[in-house]
Amino acid sequence: MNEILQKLVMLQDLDCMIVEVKSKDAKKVQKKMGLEIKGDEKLQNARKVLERSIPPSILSRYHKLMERYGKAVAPVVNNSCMCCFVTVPKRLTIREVGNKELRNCERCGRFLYWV
Amino acid sequence: MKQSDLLNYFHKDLFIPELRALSKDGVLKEMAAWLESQKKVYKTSIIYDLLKNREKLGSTGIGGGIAIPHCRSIAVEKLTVLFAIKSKGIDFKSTDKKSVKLFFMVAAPPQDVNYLVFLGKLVEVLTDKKIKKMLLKVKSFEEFKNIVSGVK
Repeated sequence: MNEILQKLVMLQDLDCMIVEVKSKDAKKVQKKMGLEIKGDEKLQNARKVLERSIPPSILSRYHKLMERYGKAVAPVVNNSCMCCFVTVPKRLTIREVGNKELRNCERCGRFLYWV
Repeated sequence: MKQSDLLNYFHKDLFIPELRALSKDGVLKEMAAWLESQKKVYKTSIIYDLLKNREKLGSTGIGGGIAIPHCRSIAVEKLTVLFAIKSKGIDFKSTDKKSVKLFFMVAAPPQDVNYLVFLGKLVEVLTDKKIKKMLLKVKSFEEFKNIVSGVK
């Protein structure tokens, strides 16, 4: 799997976790579970470390996509981008091939990750 | 969500009868690797790192010998639950400091609307004293299913 793609997936997942830590519904469930969330500082730190390992030009694109769509990486399921539902090229139907390089959706421009 | 609906998310191939890991990180790694071996995730490290980051917010050991490590990730296609047993128990830094024997790893894609509902119901069932007592003696997936479905 492409190393940068893996980092982008991890970065988006971390961003998603940070949003969830702040959400009321998630907090309610965590409280019901008897769990206490100790703030998101450690997540922010992990995020910073991860960001530093991504080339600036790609990171900048990630931020632009996040700003525009709220998601910069789109999962590919059943040969479709799960964010804009466009079909990906036939030669990329195998996930090992798809995830080998950093690719963007031809329609929405998001980075593609074959689940 | 009803108690019996929980079982729709459990599958025999997502059950580890005895974990080999001897540490908290080891448990997370072994369980994440199991998800990869069952083709539920493409890369172990994505889920493993995310679960480790979740644990930094506070342990997901809910007490009474049970832990529910959980996360949302685009690396999974749908809500996935992996149930694992460590019969000798392991220090998971739980709220009650007791060792953990039962692990329920829950991973869902970011857009999954059932994720929080599922977690809430799972906790409700697992914290029922009668059910918990029976679950802590479980050795097989069938036994687990019978207890949760109310057969036993």
